[in-house]
Parts: sequence; structure tokens; C-alpha cells
Amino acid sequence: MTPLLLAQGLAIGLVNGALYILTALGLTLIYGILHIVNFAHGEIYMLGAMAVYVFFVVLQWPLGAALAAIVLLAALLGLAIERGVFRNLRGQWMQLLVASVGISLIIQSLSWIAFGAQEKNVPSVLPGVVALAGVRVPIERLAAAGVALVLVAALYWVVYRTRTGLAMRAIEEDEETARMLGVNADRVAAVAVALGFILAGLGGAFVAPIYSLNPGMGLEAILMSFIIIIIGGLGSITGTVLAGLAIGVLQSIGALALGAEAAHVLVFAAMIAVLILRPQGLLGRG
Amino acid sequence: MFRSFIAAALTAAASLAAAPALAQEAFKIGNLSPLSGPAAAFGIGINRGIELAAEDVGTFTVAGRQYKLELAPYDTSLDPGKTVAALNRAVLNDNVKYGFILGAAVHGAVLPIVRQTGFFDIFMGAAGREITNAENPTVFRFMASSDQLYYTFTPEIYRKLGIKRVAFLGPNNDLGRSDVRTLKDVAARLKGEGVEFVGEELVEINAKDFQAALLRLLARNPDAIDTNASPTGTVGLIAKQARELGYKGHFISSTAVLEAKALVSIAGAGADNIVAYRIWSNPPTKLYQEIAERHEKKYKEATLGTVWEAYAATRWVVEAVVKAGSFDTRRVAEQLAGSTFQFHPYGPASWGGTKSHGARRQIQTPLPASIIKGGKWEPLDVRMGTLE
Repeated sequence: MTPLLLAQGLAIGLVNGALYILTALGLTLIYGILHIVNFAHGEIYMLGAMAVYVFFVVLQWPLGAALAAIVLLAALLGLAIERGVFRNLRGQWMQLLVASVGISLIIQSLSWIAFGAQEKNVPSVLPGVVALAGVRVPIERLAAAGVALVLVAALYWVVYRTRTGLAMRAIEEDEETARMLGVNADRVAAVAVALGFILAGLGGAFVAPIYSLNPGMGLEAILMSFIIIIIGGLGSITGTVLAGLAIGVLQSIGALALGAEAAHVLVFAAMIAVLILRPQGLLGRG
Repeated sequence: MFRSFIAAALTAAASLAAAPALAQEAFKIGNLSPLSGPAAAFGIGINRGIELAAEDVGTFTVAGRQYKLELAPYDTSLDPGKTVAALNRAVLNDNVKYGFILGAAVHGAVLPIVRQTGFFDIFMGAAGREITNAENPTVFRFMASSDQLYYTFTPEIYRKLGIKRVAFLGPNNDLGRSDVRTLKDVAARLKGEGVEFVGEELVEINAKDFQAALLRLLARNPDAIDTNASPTGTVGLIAKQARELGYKGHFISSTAVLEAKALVSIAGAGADNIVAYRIWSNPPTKLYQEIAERHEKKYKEATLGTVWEAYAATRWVVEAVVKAGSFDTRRVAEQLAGSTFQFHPYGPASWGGTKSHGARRQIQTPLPASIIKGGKWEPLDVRMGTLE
């Protein structure tokens, strides 16, 4: 393997890792604050991608307007599902898990009807490639990776630098005590779910021009998201970032050295190894 | 007055209720194909091909009774387990004895049931003699097989385009593994002409990111990447991602019917130099053109790639049923294997494969090769040989 090939492999891995972070961030947030394993996350991601197709390609809205509409719709959907389902089952993890699977199936089934079976494509807004010392990275992927980093920073700011974030961490730590101290847990939970849905929707929106879209695309996304948050540590934002980048690099260097299928196996092997050696994940709390 | 109106209405209703006894019976043709997911366009195209054929066939008589075609669709998502479930449902629950089953990759799972039940498998898929052979007498492949195209077409394409170094990127399933074996054999046979097989990457069938796999392949400097066994959307993504990594060579897809518009929509200018073997840049027959026009009028979109072959297969099978005077699938299979067909949109059709597959179950029709230039299919002037 030449140094250039290795450098290209690393670049692909890091950028793909950033895309994984983009996909997994919302899942981490909702689990981290509310301990809900949200199986519907993949479908919100899919809806974000489909919404870009509808607003930007079909209706030909400006991209900014399409993204604003996605943020708004994802937030409203998050608030509705939190109020209608999650709040009524709070603290019952098995019921919540089954409910989120149900929501996922309902959204996916309705999406097959609404969007049809044909693959959809969103044309690249930022075509072209950045080439640096022979290493080539598509601009649209670089931009999506940049968005991922901005969203990570924004999430840190919300969780660690705002009163809402403080309240989120308080109910994550001990909801009863937080309530006694005057925290409106229902409102905070609603905000957390809305934020998680916005992150999922934006994840799908920014990945849409890179891949083709269909209503089943959420399944692949949620599988990789689960692998990342399990390795990183359930609910840990830093863990999600590290695991996303590590998995991206493991996949690309593994594929380069051993082949694509072997790299796929490596990812699952890494997850199993982490589950055995450090069940709480790299940065999760034991 | 009111009473006589009621009496007349009741009489009319009673006559209508009795009418089905005199009406035609349904001859159900199943379509066990992906109607959702990345390969959905293939299955939807078959649905439409059957519907258009049903319009042309109208009613037909078998053993003194009148029949009319009826489509029975089953979504398999190209998943072997779902296809087995669909076939069991079709045969055991819905009394469907004839049907399209799409995908070589699902056939390993369904062939035991096909053999056991005598289901008439109107097979749309690639691979080779592992599916159409003497052990599966009711399986007829109504599209070109991988080995047929690889052995009779590929060498000419390589010569025409000056391709010497060939790589394969496809799904890690029965079809992908079978195709890469055949391609390696073709390359070995052309070794004297300087052709070399330089690498293969088999990936998950639903994969959408091929950058890492492509990087490994591109390090071996291929002139052509064979993307057989992948649907349009996947080929488009492979082309797009390979171009992003600086690849300038050809992509070759022999068996999948690729949609140029979708390829260009995904890969942009990167779709140029995608070669496909079953794409007609110019209509080969008047019937081909008529079907395309009817399809666009009826379904309000460009004709999906599998429509023409599904149309021909449906009409040919019905013709064999009528000539056999029976729905017994083995009798119809014998009748069909000995027949030729003049209403194929690609041109006159017959059966081959006696020597190579051990049974006359492989369709032979005129076939073209095309290449994308400037976002559109253009004819590639090569002639396909015959599968013995």
C-alpha cells in the first residue's frame, strides 16, 4: 500500500466517519437525555432526505428554504411523538422500544405509499472534488462533514452551555430530583426529542445528494448509528464523534487492505469486542 | 310505478349476479419481483409488461373454456426469504401456477419449491446454467443470461473499446459470485489478446458507499469495471464515486437494463462511458416503439427496462398454454421449448442452451450494446454471438 493510497483511504474514512456522526447524533441525544432507544430515528433521517427531494427537486424551493422547512417539520413531528407516545410511556423502556419500532414501521409503510418504490436522486449542489497532494475528496462530502462538525459543536453548546442543556442533564441524572428543583421535565424532554428529530432530519438532508434515496434507506442508517453509539458509549456525544471517525477509518483502511466485505466484518467484530471488553462503550458511564 | 321500478331493479341485479357464471375465468400470472427498494424498477416494469400484454391477448380459449389474464403481484424486495414466502403464498394460497420470478440471487432458495410444485417460473435474471437446466424443466429464462452475454458479447466489446485490464464490483450474493467466476473465465480465455482480470470487490447488496472498495480496485489501474448484477441506482453511485476518485475508464453492465436518465441524474457527466448490453438506442422493431408509446401514455413515464421482455414472455407463455390446450406446466414447458415467437419487441425469438445449459430454456433474441455519451445512450457497433 503506497503512502498516497493510505492517505486517500484515511481521507475517505474520516469524511465517511463524519457522515456517520451526522446520522447518529440525534439518536445519541435522545438516548443520552431520556434513555429512549429510538428505532424511528432511521425513518426521520429518511424523511429528511425525502423532504429535500420534495422541496428542493420537485417544488424547486431554494435550498435554504427547504432546510428551514425540514427543521420545522422535524421539530413538530418530534414534539407530536414525544407528547403522544414517549411521554405516556416514560420510564418503561421495553414499551418505549416497542413503540418506537411501531412508529418506525408506520412511517416507513406510509413513505412507500407516498414516495413510491423508485429510487430518488438529489442533484449535487456542490459538485467537484478537492485535490490536495493527490488526495481527492468530493466537495459535497466535505461540506456534509463540515455540517456534522458544526452540529456537534452546536449540540455541545446546547447541552453544556445553556439552561435548557443544564435541565436536560439534570433530568438525565435524576428526573425526580430535577422536578423537585423546579425543572419542567416534560418541556425539557419535548425539547430533547425535537432536537434529536431535527438532527436526524438534517442528517438525511445533507446526505441526500451523496446517495440515492428510497423509503427503506433508514434501516441502513440506523444500523450504523447503533454500532457507533454502542462503541462510543450510549448517550455520549464525544463517544459518538470518536466512534464515528474510528469506524469510518476502520472501514476504509480495512477495505483497502482486506477488501470491502472483510471491512464490513471488521466493523461488527469491533462492536462485539467493545461489548465484551467495555460494555458501556468507549466513553459511556459504567 | 315504484313497485315495478323495484322489480325491474331486482331483476337487473339478479341478472348481474348470475353473469360471472358465463364470464371468462382468470388465468393468474404472478409477478414475484422487487416492487420496493433499489431494484423496484425491474419489478414494476414486469407488472406493466404483463398488463400491456393482457390488453393485447384479451380473452383466449383453453380446453373449451374462456380465460382472461390477471396479474398477481408479490413484492419480494429481491430477498430470498421473502421470495420463498411469496412463492408459497402464490402456489398454496392463491392457486397461481405461472409467474415471473426476478433475480438469480433469489433462485437458490426458490428452485426446490419450483421443482417440487412444478411452478412455471418465467425467470428474469442473470447467472447461467445453475438455474436453467434439465433439472428445472419448468424454468425458462426470458432474458439474456450472464454466461450468454459474457461469452458471446464481452470479447467483442473489449476489442472494440481496447479494454485490457478488467475489474469487477458487484453484490456479494449468488449472482455476483457467479458473474465474477464467469468474467474471470472470459478474461482467461482472452489472455492471448492481453486481457487480464485485475481485481474483484463484492459488497453488501444494499450498499450505497463504494469509495473504499473502489479505491482498492483503482489501485490496480483497470480499463473497465464490470458492474453486472447491480441495478441502475447502484451503477450510478459506483460511477459517480469512481469518477470522484479520478477513474476515467469504462463501466460495463451486461444483464441489468439500466436507465440512462437515472444514471445521469446520479452520476452527472460521470455516467459517460457506461456500457450496457441490453439497451436499444434505436427501436429494433415497430412493436418495440408501439409498446414504448403505449407505456408512456398509460403510466406517464419513460418505459421501464423490463417492460418489453415481460410483455413478450407473457404473450409467448399464453400462446404455449393455448397450443398445449392445458395449464399443466410440464406440458406447456414442452410446448414452449419447441416453439419460436414472432411478437418479441426485440425481434424473432427462439430457445437455445441445449449444449451450454443442458436444456432449451434460454431465450435467444437479437440484442444490442449501447454506451452513454453526453448523457444519452448511443449504439455500440458490435455483434453478439449465439449461445449453443
